[in-house]
Amino acid sequence: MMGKAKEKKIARTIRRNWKDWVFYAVIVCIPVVQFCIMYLGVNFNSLIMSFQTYDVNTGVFSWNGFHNYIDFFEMLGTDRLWLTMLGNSTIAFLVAQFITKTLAIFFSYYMFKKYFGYKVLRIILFIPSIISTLVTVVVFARFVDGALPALFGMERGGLSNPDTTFFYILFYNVWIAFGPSLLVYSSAMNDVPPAVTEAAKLDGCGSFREFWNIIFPNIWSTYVVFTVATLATYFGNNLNLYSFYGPNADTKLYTFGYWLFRETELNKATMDNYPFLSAVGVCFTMILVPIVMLIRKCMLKFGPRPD
Amino acid sequence: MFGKKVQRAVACFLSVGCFAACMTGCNLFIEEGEQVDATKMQLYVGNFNQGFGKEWLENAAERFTEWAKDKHYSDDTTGVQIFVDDMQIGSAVVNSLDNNRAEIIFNESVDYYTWIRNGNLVDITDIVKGDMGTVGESGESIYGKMYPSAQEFYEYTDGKIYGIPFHESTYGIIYDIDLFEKNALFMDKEGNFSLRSQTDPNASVGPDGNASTSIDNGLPATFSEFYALCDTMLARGLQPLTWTGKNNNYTSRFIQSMAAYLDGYKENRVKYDLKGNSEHIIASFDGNTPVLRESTPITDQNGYLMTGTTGMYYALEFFYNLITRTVEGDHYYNESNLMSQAYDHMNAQDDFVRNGVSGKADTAMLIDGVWFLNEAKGTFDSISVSDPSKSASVRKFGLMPLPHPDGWGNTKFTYLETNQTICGVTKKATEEKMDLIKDFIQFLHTDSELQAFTETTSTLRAFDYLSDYDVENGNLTPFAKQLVSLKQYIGDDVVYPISTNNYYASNTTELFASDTMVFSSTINGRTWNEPIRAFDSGVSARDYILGMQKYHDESWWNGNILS
Repeated sequence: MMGKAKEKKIARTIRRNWKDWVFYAVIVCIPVVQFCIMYLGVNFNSLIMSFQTYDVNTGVFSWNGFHNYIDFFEMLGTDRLWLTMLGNSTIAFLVAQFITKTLAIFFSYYMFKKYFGYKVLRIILFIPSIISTLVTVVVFARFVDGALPALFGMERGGLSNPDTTFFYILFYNVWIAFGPSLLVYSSAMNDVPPAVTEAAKLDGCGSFREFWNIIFPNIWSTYVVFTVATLATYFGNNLNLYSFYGPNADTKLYTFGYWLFRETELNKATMDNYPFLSAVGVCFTMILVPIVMLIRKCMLKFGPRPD
Repeated sequence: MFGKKVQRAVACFLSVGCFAACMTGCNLFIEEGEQVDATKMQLYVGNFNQGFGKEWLENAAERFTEWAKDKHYSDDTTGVQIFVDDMQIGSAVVNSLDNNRAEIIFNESVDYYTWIRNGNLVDITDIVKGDMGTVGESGESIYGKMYPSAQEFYEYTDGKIYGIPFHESTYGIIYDIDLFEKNALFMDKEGNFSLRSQTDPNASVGPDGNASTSIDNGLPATFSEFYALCDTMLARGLQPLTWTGKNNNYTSRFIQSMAAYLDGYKENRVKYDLKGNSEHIIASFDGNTPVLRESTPITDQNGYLMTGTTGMYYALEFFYNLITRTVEGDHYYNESNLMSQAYDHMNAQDDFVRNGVSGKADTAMLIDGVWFLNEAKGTFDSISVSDPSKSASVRKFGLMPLPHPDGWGNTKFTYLETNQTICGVTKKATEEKMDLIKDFIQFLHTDSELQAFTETTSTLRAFDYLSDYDVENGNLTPFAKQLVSLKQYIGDDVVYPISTNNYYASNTTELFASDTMVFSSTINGRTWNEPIRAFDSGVSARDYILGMQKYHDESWWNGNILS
């Protein structure tokens, strides 16, 4: 009886506010459909495909058991390129985590404190993330390989010199990564109650102490979110190599993400490589998911608290 | 802060905006520049508008429109209206042709067999083999103008034809003939660079050893002579070479083409047909001298052996020396441009074309594709405003017949057709339009239109239309004249990387089209895929070819080609 009363109440609410419900449904249906197709559908299809093989002549997928997975593990053991990719992907993650994020937090704090030139700094740091990557890549490449040698009399530009190419690729990725995180960290810092910071100031707390003991603990959950997001892209991060080199980057620069993208791009004429690449993607996911969840749990459990 | 109504209005506005943006991407709301004329029949042609441009096609479309102005291709239309659309390169659109309105396409980097299997192309056997009487060439057919290897290749396994070649192009060394003449860089019979003309009676005989073929006279015949030429250029204050630093595939393709020339036509046919005996496979090295296998029968099972031929080795060796040789510390090129992301093919063309204008040291040779003249049109137009003698129609350039290794006998130059081009009809073509499509395609392949293509683009079509062409009196740029003469000289020995062998045709990406796959080389556990990078890092040509053989071994062949 209570259930029926509740149902009647819900039905009454919907009838009264049906226009609101229709509007809500219309707005929400597009992202829901998009999620169902582009996320659920695509990933489910990838999972199925990882157990299949593709016949180029007939265009038909057929069951292939675990052969794709076996091929992947065999390749791991024989091709040294995987070690290169492991090294580069790890370096890319560590740079993103400990350099990009650290700088983003400090820049955000600088803007939060409204120090000298913070508005200009905000614009300068945000611009690369709103301009097309292809434009920033061209500008950066021309500057590093064209302007720098001319200005400083270098024999070769930073990108054309094989000893410094990776460094400049990392630098580029740090440079363009600030935008979204600046916004989010700034917003999180602004949520800290002003009374707390005022009180700290009255107690003679300096800027660094304020940051370390008050601001950082308060934005810790945001930091965890970004850490998880960065870690989740460990296998997918291509360091924008495709924008720089297309499919022709030096193998010395390869990351897992670039290799995956390149293999898919080069073989898109037929789908015969897709089952194997799907198996690789599933393996990457199985490795990464428990690591990400464990790290998230540890960070939330052992990280600083606002209180 | 804002009322519910305002919030709702903003949400609606944003949603409609996003929706409109999506529909714009589907071309639903954008009006085309030229309006459709309902009294005429429309034809949509997609063209890969890059090095070869679209002027040739637009001009041809105009002539055809005039030719067909009174024709009734349907009961309610008179005349035709042709839309020429830009199209991305073939490899980018292979799976998205359904989104393109083009009914006829002119494109490159097209894997023909894959396109057929994907259903991208329709049967045009009737158009290709049909008589061209309607367009004024009775007794002729497009098929009859195709080279034998193309006739065989473009006829698919079901006996039908789904495409025909488009342009014929290659990568090579383009030399500034004016600069050679001005600086007396042609070689005499004594080996001195002292002549101002290739037709000088004292000019050396060139790589083919034949004084009667002036196309290569006065040019270095051997690698040593070529290096000596470059040394001489440096001594005379010239920069011998330039090429794009950003696009390493240009130099890889050049090496590929040079390898085809050095291996020769017959060896290349063995490579692509996976049939016949190979005489050029490297078994090992004695120092830097390759030791050859005995004559080896090549089959579907051992085609990987063709990776390591003497032609490929010596082409790598040649390029390695171009990279590493110096004269008193000066390289043959501007070292700051080597693999520079700020120096692309247009920059290289610019430096080359602006000889005598830029104030920098003149550059004698450019490694590029034969479409460079058309691609550098903007530069030519701008510099010829103040000096008409600098225009493309006056300046003399040539595709250089390349030298051969020291100690080799006379070698006649040839080149590798590199761009996998196609002219085809897509699924968008309806039955109603097939008569129009047939007339248009046949019209484009009349001798006059094929010649018009060459006159406009200074490049060649991949058909036999030049045998009777009067080169001197044709409306050609000097570069086009040289190309035509070179083609007439080479004759039937141009290497087309096409084959009806099913394993080859199904794996053209791995075996030919992808230069990074072709040049994959495993050296000390590291895989290189661009020779220029490896050479810049100190790897030798010998180690590179051995690495290529190691990478493309039997297990690679079985896993990638035979499976």
